[in-house]
Amino acid sequence: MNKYMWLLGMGLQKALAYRVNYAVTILAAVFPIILQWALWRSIYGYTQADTLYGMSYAEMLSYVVLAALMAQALRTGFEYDMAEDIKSGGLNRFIVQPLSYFGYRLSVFVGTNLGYFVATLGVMAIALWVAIRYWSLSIDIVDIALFLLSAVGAFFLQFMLFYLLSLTAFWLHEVWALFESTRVIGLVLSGGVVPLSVFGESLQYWLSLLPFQYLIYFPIQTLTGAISFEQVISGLLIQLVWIVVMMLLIAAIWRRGSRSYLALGG
Amino acid sequence: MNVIEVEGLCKTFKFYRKPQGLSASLKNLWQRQVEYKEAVKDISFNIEKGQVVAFLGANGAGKTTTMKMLSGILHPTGGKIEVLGHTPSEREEQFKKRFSILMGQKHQLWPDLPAIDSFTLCQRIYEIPTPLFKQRLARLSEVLCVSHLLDIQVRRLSLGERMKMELIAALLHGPELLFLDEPTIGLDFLSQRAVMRFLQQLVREDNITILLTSHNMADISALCERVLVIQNGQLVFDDDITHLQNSLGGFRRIHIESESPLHSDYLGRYGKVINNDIHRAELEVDGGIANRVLQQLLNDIMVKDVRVSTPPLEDSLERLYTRRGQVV
Amino acid sequence: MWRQLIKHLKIYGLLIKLNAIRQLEYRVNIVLGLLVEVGYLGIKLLYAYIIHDTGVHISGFAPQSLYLFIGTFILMTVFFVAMLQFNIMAFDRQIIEGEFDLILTKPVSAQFLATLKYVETWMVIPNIIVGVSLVAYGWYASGLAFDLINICLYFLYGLLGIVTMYCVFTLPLLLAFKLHNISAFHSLIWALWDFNNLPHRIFPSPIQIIGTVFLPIFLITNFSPLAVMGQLSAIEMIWGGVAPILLFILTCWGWRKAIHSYESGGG
Repeated sequence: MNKYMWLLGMGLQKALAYRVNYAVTILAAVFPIILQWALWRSIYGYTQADTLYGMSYAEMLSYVVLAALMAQALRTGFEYDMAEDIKSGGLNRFIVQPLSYFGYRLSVFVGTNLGYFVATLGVMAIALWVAIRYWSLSIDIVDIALFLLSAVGAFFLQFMLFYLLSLTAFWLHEVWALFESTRVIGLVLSGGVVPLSVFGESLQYWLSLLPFQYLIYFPIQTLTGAISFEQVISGLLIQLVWIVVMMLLIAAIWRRGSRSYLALGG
Repeated sequence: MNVIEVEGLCKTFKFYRKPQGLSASLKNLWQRQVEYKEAVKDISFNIEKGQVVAFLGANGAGKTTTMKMLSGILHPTGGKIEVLGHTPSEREEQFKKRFSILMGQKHQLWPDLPAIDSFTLCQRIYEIPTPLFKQRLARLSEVLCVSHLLDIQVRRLSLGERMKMELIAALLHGPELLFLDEPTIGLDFLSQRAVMRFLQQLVREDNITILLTSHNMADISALCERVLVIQNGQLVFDDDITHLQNSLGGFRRIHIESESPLHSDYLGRYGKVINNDIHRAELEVDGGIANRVLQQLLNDIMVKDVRVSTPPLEDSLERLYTRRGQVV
Repeated sequence: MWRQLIKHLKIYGLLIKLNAIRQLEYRVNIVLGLLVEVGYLGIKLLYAYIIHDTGVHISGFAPQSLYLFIGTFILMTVFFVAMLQFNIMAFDRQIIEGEFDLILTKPVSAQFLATLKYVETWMVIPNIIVGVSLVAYGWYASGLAFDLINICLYFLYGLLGIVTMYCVFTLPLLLAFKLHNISAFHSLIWALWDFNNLPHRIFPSPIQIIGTVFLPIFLITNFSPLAVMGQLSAIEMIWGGVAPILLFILTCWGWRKAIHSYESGGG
């Protein structure tokens, strides 16, 4: 286990080495929030409605702010390194060394993203404070605890999702577009842009069958207390099930992929 | 006429050091250790039109840095450069059209396109008139035997073929001066020879001036008349290639085969024993005493066969690199 | 000067052609690239959908004219993706791997080759179709005259918008000469770009002023529809013409400075 902790530390160091980047990325999260805020302010102001898509202005605002931050917290980037490893023979190292590639990637991912994740959660805490103070949002302590649980789940689910996606590099020549399209479409489907209730009942039902909403929509709904305790618990369970399902898929695909990798001779 | 004139050229680089460990990384957030490296120190030389000059030195000695300054990629920290009557760092368009630089590890052709497409881009960039372009392309591709490969994607070509295409791209605008940075790196023996033969022909027919860096001694002895050796940023040798060996004492190697066993203690009296497997030995001696040593050996030992040779160029260079390295 | 411009335009024409040929080699990539663009298009249309669904008037603009804005934004995205995106992404790699060294020895503007070499061709097609349709519908539905003056105004401010876009997004690239890893700036750039999703009049005036005067991203997509709708004040019309030119001069000057003090990557 020790070597994985070491890798984790290395990832953290790598993240720290690019100090300016670090600050800028967090700053970048603010812009979409301003846009959303301006839009919803106009919409609620113009329509004079108390609730739109089942949310009051304060709730909508809190949602888009928190969701945008959550989307930032779940940033990845290792998929490109991984595709590169697969394509240019970087995997050979792991075949000869007593190190599991999955473990390696997970440690480096946690290392590079942990600081970022926690920092972004910190920014979310500030946003939450603003929401409670000025937009009269009421939050339960229990909900915060449950949210943290679901956020950790989302963190790992995101890792599994992109790890799974990276495995396509065994067969695909270029993976860039696949990563990006998944990222964008995933962002919309996970509720990272607007709450899923905007899409209407029937579409929302179909979306609930996909893993995406457990990345952003579900954790934020948990946090704002929009769903009941029972729904949260069952949601957490489904999230866990998705993580396990993805891990199993990864194991199966990895086995097939590395076979074709070895057959090619790297 | 001098094509290149360099006087008192210096280049200093600034870089950061990052010690090992997380705490050092954290510390690096606030302050970074700045250090300076003198890559090139006070170099002066001239190169005449039509000369082929090799630029030698260990990795990191400053060859590539100097070449980059000569081609205007880098600005010198001090000193004066004049190439083809221009100051390279001003990067004038007229200057750029008169030379070419080819780096063995950097490719300018687009890998996903046939070479011919990249060549048309060169044509546009260098504003080569179409008839001249066609004529040059036909000639170059014929001499290099790649006419039939022009419409194949570059990434499907072998490394040697690709290098030949890179050469064509570098020569289409008819440069008077060619900088070659390790042009044969990674090529197999046959491609290396083909490239070198082509360059020889180019020098002969077009009177082009070439400055070449390489680690391949065969390239250098085949092509170059003059050698510049750079060591730790300083020019330590600048002369004819044949003088390289003489100036270092003009060593000779004596290969002996004998019926009786050869003793290293005995041979060591005359010079350095390179190897000795009892009946066969190789001895390196000073050029001035080679004749005397040979006579003595013939007297002392039952010699079956004897042969005298000059040591390979690499050995002279090794001696040069390490000798000056100690002085500096 | 004029001759140089013609030369560079010719080279750019050839670059577009070469890139189009190159991309055809990877048909799967075109399909996937289309998928990415459709994804982004989806987000833009999501805003259009919300505006349509709630029937909101933003700063007095009816939904119909908002389609004109969103359509223009989508069309500008075409230029952004086609001309800039890949050059921006490949830029720091060019410096680290020393490809920039070779560019410096070519008798063309190094800025031109380094920032405009890659052109994305096929994958912007859905954006063109959707953008043109939205603009056409918005134009028609808001009852704007389809005459020569309006068309010229739209194209003029569109062109100026493209110049502004080029400057706003290539100026930060100069940081790559100092920092060697600017991936975070990419995310900043993407985020800034999305500001143009909605007409800038939606923002509070301090943001409007910042985005028009100091960091003129709002000039990129807002001024051409506003000009056609007759919603630009005289000062804005002048600023919309002057700012891109000033910015372009600034960009070229910054590049010249940066290239002058450039230290090549490999020793």
